[in-house]
Amino acid sequence: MSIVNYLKESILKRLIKVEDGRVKMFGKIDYIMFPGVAMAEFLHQIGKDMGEDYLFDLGYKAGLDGANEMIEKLGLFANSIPTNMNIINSMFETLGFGKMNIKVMHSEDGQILLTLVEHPVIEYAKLKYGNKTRVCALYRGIFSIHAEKDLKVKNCKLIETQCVLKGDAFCEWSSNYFKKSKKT
Amino acid sequence: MVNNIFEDLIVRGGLVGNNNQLKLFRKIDFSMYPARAFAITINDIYNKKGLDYLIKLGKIMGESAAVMFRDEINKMKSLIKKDYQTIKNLIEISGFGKIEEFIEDEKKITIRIKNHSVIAPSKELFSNKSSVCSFYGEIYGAFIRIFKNIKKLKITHTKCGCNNGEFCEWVYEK
Repeated sequence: MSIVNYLKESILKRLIKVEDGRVKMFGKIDYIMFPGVAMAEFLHQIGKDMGEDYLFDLGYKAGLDGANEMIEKLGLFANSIPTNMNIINSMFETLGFGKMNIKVMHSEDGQILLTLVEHPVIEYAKLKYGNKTRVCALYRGIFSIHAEKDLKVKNCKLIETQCVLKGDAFCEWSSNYFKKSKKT
Repeated sequence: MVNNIFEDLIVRGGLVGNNNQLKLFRKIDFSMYPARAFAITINDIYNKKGLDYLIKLGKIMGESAAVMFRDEINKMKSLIKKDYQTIKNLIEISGFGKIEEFIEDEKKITIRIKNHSVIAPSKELFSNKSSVCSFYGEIYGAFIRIFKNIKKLKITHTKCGCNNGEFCEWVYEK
């Protein structure tokens, strides 16, 4: 598919516009594009120096602002939870956040189980650092707050139960799903 | 409206969408991040670890992107010149901002940038307490070092968009 078709398709989905060198979602929210490798090295260094929990918090704060900005400027996520789930799936994939599959979700119980594959930053980090990096913690933070704000999953703090960086076929993140965390 | 660098890349077949993922030169994946949230991320790191650490991160991110582009361009050197227009274009398509002016003389290079999608919200949120410009100054410095094969550059942030300036200006002394 050419970039023209890609952009047209994204525009048809009312997602992305490129104006005067600035990439905008729905023409209203500025986004920046990073080469996956550069983002992977940036996050790896932060995780190495300040730890996985800090990376998670960083993602959580960034995700909170991102979610608020979408609500403020676009009025997104005022829909039913299944509709919001479709929006999030499509949006994250288009933004280069990998392919997410929500397998179980009970919002009221704060329960969610999801898998993630083909995340460009995590894939680059795996190639370069193998299991010695924790870059996924930032994205776990981002997904946690989006699950809480947009999918109404109460007190959602995703924990990692499988990880591509450690050789698993996919990342598996959950909140309040496994009675005993099988955290690797 | 797709701007010139994007159009140019489309014509050359350098930027394609594949399976909902944006790829440059058919292999370099991109990931997107909300610009205002990135301003918050950078400010958080600055508050926790200070300016020197932010500068170190800018250098790491800039070098990583610049080395990757240099290696890809080296594979197709007959097609793409390693001139300042290329550096400007690569910085722009890397998501690091649109450089308005790129002025070089024998001793130094001056870069000016305005209306930056991360610096603008940083100014709104943190005014002159923002250090995001220092982060970007290092990124641009890394591109200049890698593409001009200069070992060391002295970077001075001479005008600041977050501190009552209309634009940010950095001077890179060779």
